[in-house]
Amino acid sequence: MRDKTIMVLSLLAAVMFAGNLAIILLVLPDEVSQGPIFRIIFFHVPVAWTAFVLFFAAMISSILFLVRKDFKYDSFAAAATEVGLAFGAANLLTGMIWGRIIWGIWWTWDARLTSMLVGWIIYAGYVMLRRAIEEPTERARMSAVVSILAFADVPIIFWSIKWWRTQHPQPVVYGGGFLSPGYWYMLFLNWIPILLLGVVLLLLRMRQEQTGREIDALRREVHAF
Amino acid sequence: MIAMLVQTAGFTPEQYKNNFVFLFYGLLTAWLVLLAFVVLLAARERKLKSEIERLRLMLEDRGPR
Repeated sequence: MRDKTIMVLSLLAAVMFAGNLAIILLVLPDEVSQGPIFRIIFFHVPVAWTAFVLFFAAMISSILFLVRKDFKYDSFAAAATEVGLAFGAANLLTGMIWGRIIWGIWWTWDARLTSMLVGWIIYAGYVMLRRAIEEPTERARMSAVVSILAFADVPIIFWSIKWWRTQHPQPVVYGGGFLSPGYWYMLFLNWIPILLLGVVLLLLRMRQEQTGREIDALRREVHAF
Repeated sequence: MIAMLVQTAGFTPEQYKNNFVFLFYGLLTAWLVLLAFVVLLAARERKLKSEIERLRLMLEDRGPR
């Protein structure tokens, strides 16, 4: 059942993405001041939203683990965080490439960029922590705490461009920045396949967590002999 | 067509080309990152399967307790 769901979602994402890419590259006009590079926004922003959704889901799941002590929540949090990290990396790198053309630099220690990088490093620390602790209950409890604390950075990333004067453009979604309706529509339309891809990767990663738990159980059985 | 776009955007042809090349790099990078993650997942899947197989064989070899 899960394999079928993964297959259907992957196909849906691929078809939608192919259609969107054609519109983005062939139909939408260049943005007046930025030129073709502006189109990177249709990936840069949705991958960031997907990463934030996954980090939020990981935090909720971590709270649920601490309350209910059910390892399925721990597996979900681990899977969501890892997939979120991949999307976060895509966001940081596409932003750097955009910055090289528009700002003339690859990187600046601006509040938005820095808070995103700090968030990414904290979540990478979460993954490293999980590898460092062997005992499953201790690993799940410690990483749940880290996941909850790490999420504190996400609102900072989100609101940084409002709270501080930044080089990063003002938000186009919650005020300040302007995006014409055609671009606006495309931004949300392209978020759908990217979010679907996130769900597919999450399902695949969760299956591995499940296999990991089976391995833990088999190891205990082997050592019990 | 490209000449018209270049004129509209106020870019020199060289700037416009460079701008487009960086858009390509951006899209390529985004997909390469996600592809690298998928490759990582596939490698881990193989490792987990072989580990589970190894443990099962180990248990079978030992027979019932």
